[in-house]
Amino acid sequence: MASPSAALYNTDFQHAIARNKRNTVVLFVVLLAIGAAAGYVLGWGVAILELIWNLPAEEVERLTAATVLLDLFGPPRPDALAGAAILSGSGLVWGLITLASGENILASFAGARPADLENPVERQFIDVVEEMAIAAGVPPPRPMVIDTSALNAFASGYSPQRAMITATSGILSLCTREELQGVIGHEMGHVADYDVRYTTVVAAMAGVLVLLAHFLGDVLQWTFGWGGVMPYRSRGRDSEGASGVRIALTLVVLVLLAIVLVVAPLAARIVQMAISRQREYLADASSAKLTRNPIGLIHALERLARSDTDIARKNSPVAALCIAEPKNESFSGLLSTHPPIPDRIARLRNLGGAAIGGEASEPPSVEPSRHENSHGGPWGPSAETQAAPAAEPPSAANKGPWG
Amino acid sequence: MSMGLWIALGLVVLVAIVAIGIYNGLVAGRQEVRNAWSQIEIQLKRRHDLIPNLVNAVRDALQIEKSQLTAVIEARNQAISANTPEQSMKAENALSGALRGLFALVESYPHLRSQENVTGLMEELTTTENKISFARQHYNDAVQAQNIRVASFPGVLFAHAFGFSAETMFEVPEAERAAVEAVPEVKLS
Repeated sequence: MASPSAALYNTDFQHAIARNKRNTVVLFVVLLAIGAAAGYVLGWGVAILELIWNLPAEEVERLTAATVLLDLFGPPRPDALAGAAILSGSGLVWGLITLASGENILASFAGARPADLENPVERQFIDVVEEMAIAAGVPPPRPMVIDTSALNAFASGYSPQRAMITATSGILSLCTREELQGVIGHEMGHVADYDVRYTTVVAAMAGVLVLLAHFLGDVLQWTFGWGGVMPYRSRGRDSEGASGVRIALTLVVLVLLAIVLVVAPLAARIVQMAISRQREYLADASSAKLTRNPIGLIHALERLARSDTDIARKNSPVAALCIAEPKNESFSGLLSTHPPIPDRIARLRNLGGAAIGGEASEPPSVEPSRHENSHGGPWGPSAETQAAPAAEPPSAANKGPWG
Repeated sequence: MSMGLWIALGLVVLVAIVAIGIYNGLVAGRQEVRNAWSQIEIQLKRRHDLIPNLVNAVRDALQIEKSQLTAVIEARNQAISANTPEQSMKAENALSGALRGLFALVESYPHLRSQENVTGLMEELTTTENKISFARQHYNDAVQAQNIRVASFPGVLFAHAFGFSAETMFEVPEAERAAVEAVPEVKLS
């Protein structure tokens, strides 16, 4: 683990922006390659199954699992090429659509609607988004709301000029203004350093891979299901041995395809989370820098740790964008996109939460962030920054289980 | 041409390219500082416009506390009529203090807090106060970034020649800082 203050030293938006733009292109290509590889194997599977069931009986009896599987690495079959073209092509098209329409796709995926100025809670959300945009010096992103009691928020979009910040109605009604500032500050960090472009593209692409893999899995099942389609397709009178070989080989190929259908979305998710954890620390540091008050985010994270953050299953492509890992994910331990919340809180405390903890855990004042400080202050490379997490004030320590 | 001449020419071109990059960076930094300053002014203007609305909305309920209302109105009028930046800064800070007092007062009247137009105005003024403070913070961030650019190598070699100098930070006077720390205890829940 990097030293606690490293995240803050790296809160260099210019470098983060350049790195994110580069990574977006690289990962776009990597995901297309994953899609092409998966499509190739799936197309090959379709072709080889056709072959197994259409060859004359005497030729089938000479086939073994090894010869069939080696065929995958033989001269490309047209169906395999078609599969690769379909999967990577639709990935490319989807990626370009995402780039063109940016923020909208993911937000509508998640069932978000524009925040309502007439609703006091959402009015406060709109205001806090504007406040944080001013602090970051970027145009205000469009505030969106998802109606659910789960607690979560995410940012999406192509650039700071065309970004959205989406929050659940649960987090809006439960968090104090101070906590909300911390959460929105975190999301504004993602917006200001172009995390949004990277995560939006990658999330959309990973999402389309998962969807297509599911879809093709269904098609395969339908075409080659055990419902009698295959025996019907076999030509002529099969000997006992021939049909046994056909069924065995079909099983081998189907197992291979099943593995691909599981591995491809998994690989896409690994790519997705590859850099995502580190940028969460960075966004936390940005939040502390923008609000000059890490306590708000610390309290909000403590709230999130105690509650349900799962927006909905259909939103899994959005996971990497959220303020906290959506729970109820089957691979949450291995493939989480977010660092553990206690770890994030410990780092935030090191960024000055410990130094001003006692004062800020009082009810939020009119201007909770009025620390006009431009010389680094508690988040600069000062003595406090280096302080060990043990320096927490008692008031903050007994708020959560990580005291 | 000789080899040495080519090398000299290459160096000149290189220096020119570096100088152009530095100049563009300095211009962008100065623009950012100006934008940040105008954002402060936008929010201050917004505050001046909102205050009469809030005062009108709570005037009847706060008959006994008239002094607080007059203090806010007077501070606002002084802030508007300020001529120099120093006067303006001083008046705005006084207005911040007066507003905080009024906010605390409104919070202590439950029936006022439950009036929709009052809560709406309070939210609008609260966010404007926050925006003013965040705009100042961003202005100082922008000034700091620009001053580092002007004073550090290699910018320092060109900044003076290009007519760039250090910008001035927005300072919060000691009195104001004390007022912030002595913010009245307000129970919101």
